[in-house]
Amino acid sequence: MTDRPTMERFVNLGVLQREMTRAGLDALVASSPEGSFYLSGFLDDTYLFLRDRLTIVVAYEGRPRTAIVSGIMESAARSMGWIDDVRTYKEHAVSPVSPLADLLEEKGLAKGRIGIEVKWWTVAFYQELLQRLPNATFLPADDVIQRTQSVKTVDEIERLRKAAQLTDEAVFAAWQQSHPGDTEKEVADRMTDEWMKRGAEATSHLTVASGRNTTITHHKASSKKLEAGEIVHSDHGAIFDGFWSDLGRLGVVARPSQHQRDLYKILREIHRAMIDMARPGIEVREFFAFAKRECNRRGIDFSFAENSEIGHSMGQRPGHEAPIVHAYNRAVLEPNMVLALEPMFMTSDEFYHLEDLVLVTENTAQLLSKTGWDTEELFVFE
Amino acid sequence: MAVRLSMESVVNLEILRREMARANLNTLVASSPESTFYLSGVVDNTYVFLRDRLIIVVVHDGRPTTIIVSGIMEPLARATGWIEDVRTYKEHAVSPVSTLADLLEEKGLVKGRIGIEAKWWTLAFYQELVTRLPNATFIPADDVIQRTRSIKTPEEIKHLKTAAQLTDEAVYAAWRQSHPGDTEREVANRMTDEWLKRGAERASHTMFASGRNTTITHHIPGAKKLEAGEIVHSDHGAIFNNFWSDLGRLGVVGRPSQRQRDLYKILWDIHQATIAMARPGTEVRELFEFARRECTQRSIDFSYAENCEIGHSMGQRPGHEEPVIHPFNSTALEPNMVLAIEPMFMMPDEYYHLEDLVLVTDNAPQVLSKTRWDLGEIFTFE
Repeated sequence: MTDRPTMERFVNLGVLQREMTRAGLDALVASSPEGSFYLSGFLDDTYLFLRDRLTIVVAYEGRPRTAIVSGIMESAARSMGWIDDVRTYKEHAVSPVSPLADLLEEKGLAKGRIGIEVKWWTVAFYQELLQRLPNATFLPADDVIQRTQSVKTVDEIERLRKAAQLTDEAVFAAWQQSHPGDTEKEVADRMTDEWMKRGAEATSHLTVASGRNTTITHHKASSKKLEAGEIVHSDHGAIFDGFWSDLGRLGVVARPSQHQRDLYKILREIHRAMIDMARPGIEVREFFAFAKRECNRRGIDFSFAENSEIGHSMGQRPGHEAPIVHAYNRAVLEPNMVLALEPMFMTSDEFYHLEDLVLVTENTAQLLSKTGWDTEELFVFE
Repeated sequence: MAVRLSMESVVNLEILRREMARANLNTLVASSPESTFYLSGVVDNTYVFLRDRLIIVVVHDGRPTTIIVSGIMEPLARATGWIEDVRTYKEHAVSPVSTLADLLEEKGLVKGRIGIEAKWWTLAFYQELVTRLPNATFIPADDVIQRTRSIKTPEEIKHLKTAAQLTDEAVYAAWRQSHPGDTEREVANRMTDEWLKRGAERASHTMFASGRNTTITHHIPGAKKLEAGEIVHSDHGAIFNNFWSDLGRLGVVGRPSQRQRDLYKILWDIHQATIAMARPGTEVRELFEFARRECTQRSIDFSYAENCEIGHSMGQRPGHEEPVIHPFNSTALEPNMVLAIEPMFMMPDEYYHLEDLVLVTDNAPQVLSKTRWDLGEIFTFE
């Protein structure tokens, strides 16, 4: 379903070059799923759970130039990706670290400053790399890739918008077909069915919870039925054309109580205000401080969110990308960053959370996940 | 939908103790998704792509005693896991490594030998750990956990068998509803639909390809139509009750050519014979060598499989477990190991592959994935 993309359309080479220069790197070695997918256009979902089957992308002389994959993945790398220099290794016989070391030697970089993702490289592979290239200087370069990824190209923005909108339309359709007495699992399956019908390649994540189950983070949809008066929460996403979505929606079964209506209204107001705040120059921690202040002044317990974050950027494959919206993050927003903004709070028996995708522009932020679903009022399962 | 299990029914504590004693470990620190899920019963799918949100399980005195999770994951850990000592950290404010170091100090485990998963720990987290506990001795212990996981309990076998059979029945039903002219995407969606109907939580992987697309490893099903005479290949799995399935099936659109029939028969014969070899005492490399010999004898190019493996064990979440069937693995099979056996070969324009789940017993191996789908003849899409 994916047109073969080009590097220029999906990799922000200008930012990559700027960040590599700033870090003084001769080469950048990306091997995390998100780092290697981004730089090569070659996506293999199984890499998330088959971590030993390394995919390595090496950027030098200003751009990603070489990909190293298992011999069995060569066909996929060549048909999906944009890197022509694809090298392979024979699993179990040759370590993937070995063709990487060969490449760096061949390119005269064995004594160079090599950026690696220290938040991905395992101790085992790193020790091998050090033995093979004792004279190289390895530098943590996670942030070089993260900063590059954080400024999206026009094509990335369009794919992210499409994934978010199709997902939202699918969920709206599925929720409209759902009624009190349905099980969480039935609702979840309908959501899957609706996004697959709209061309999704796979589900990235899906939680549907009702009533007290909403207080269990990442609860799996169960055989519990939707009972009148219960809050229904879902955090979900699907993959379309190689890009994922990540949205959060709330509903109530039959009639909402005044208390639920009030809490939803507060959540919605905070959500809206955060979207308005998403402008160049703002530090992401300001979102967090704002949501915290708004909750505190209304006597709403914000401690659940304090444990984690209330947003993040995102890109191709599932994963939270920088900037992450947490209390300590001073990263400054720039145009063409995207943020999944997700204010949340946990009451004693219900979870309140909304998540939408927002594009930072020179002016007002754009809601990329905007569809015909008006989330102004709490959705009612009737 | 997952049924809550007990530690004793899933974790092979006896083997765990034996392997820890053999490696002379006082403490074992598990943090990979597959190991922490296995040792704690807490399964969070998002951990596969949100790797910074560490889940850590600490084993000492012969059993998993403590789990460390992000504050937001505490409800899930308590609701679904069997470890009572749940400790939390506040993301972005406190590193999970710091909570782990505190625990090891508190329990007086710092001076002992501490096993870690060197193939999972990232350089960044490992450096933090070494800085916090400079006097501790950390030993790579991936194989301690892998060996423990490789011997399945009756409960695990039951779940793996159910997952495999439900998946196979679903795919058989979906394929029988599919016809020449359907697109790859349509058939793949039908497969998803059928396993969700049978209670799957979600798909783990769906690689569905026709014609030349079968030569692209892990091809993503697209808008291409199934054309008469083409080979159809699928490598797929779904998650039922937290256990996954991993199966491979072949079909042909319309009438198979004599050549396709012959190649399928060779594949099927090798598959049957490889399965029959899965008995206690056999070294897994013998399975590989056998398949290689059989192909070579018939002048079938086996080089594709030489790049990887022709089988692996498996357990709860998606991932290849030990023993992996490659030519350098001299692990001897033991009763209650399971193997996904998957002979394969690549022709210039078609891929041949079958995958089934097999249980090693004291006597003849049992095919756990056997359903009423008769694989003796190639499936035809009519």
